[in-house]
Amino acid sequence: MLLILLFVLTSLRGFTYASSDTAYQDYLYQFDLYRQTYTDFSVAKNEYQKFKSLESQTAALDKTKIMLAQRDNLLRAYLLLLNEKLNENTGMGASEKLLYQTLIRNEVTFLETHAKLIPSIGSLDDAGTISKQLESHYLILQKSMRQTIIGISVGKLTELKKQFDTAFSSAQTLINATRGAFTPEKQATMDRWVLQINNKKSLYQQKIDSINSNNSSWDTNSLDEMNRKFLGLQGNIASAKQELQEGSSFLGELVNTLKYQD
Amino acid sequence: MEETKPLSPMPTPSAPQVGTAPLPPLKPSKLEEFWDLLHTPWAIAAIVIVSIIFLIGIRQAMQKPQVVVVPTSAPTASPTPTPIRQLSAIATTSAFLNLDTAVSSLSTSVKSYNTNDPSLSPPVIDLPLGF
Repeated sequence: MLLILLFVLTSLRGFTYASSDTAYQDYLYQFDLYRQTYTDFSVAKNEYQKFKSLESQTAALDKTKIMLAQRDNLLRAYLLLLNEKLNENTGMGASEKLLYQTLIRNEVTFLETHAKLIPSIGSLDDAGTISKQLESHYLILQKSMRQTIIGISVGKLTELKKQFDTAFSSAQTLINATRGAFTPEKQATMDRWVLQINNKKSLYQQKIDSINSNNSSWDTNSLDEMNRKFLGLQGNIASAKQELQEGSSFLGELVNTLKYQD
Repeated sequence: MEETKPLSPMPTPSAPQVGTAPLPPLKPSKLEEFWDLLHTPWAIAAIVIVSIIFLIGIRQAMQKPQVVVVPTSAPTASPTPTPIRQLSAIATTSAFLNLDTAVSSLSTSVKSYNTNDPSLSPPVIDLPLGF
């Protein structure tokens, strides 16, 4: 009864997201519930392994079912958080966004199907079998999550890059329109600075292309390997952001020099 | 030459005579002499002067030594003259002002963007049941 109530409540919560903030709060709530149910499961399991009685076995089975259901809910809440983040991302292209949303939808479908099997579990062996279904799928699930996270980060950078391109283009237009209004030395300096800003743009783009290429293929066989790759890609994203930051700083200097005659 | 006095005969002992001969005047003792000396005006003046000098000496000895503060002249800030730069012809145009605002906004956005959003960290869960 408690299991059904928990499932119904969490299912209802999943469809009332207003933003990524709400989704994040729900994810934290689900995480708290998961920790609680996992603790109860661990205690019941230890009791069963100690006493091997029918009573402790029944208690362990109940707690296992509740924990398995909550585990699915937690993973589902996290995927829905990623989905909200994707919806809010304005830097990502429509096709790219659709690709990540498809990944998420597939994983949510898997978890919902998996969760429907849990109420029918009749023994600890059954519980083990149902749990293994998620375990065997877990690498694919984690890959989808990490791919989406990298996609969201790159999308955010792309959004900033669009602003950068617009500002840089305006600066170049102003420089060209006022060519001759400044001394030849100053004009030469500004032209050189424009080239340096363009170099920063190129470096940024190279890094983003490399990240996108790596993010499209995740041929990893273990979670550790996947985590290493994920950390590497996050480092590359930070590096690309650094290029953009330096380019923005150069652009600020260019604008400042345009402000004065000498 | 010193006259030699004739030897007088040894006085014969006689019975003591009381109250007949006047007593020789008593010699003043050293203390009385000193006391008399103190009552002289010169002595009083000397004592007063010595006392005054002594008191002044004690007073100066009891006074704490005063630290002599040498006034130092504090460095005064002298502002560096800021060169007055002449604004360019485009500095007041709307296009330039828009660009200036856009670049400032961009710099702030880029700096504040955290590439490692902690809210996006995937959950870590224990999978095998362990029965």
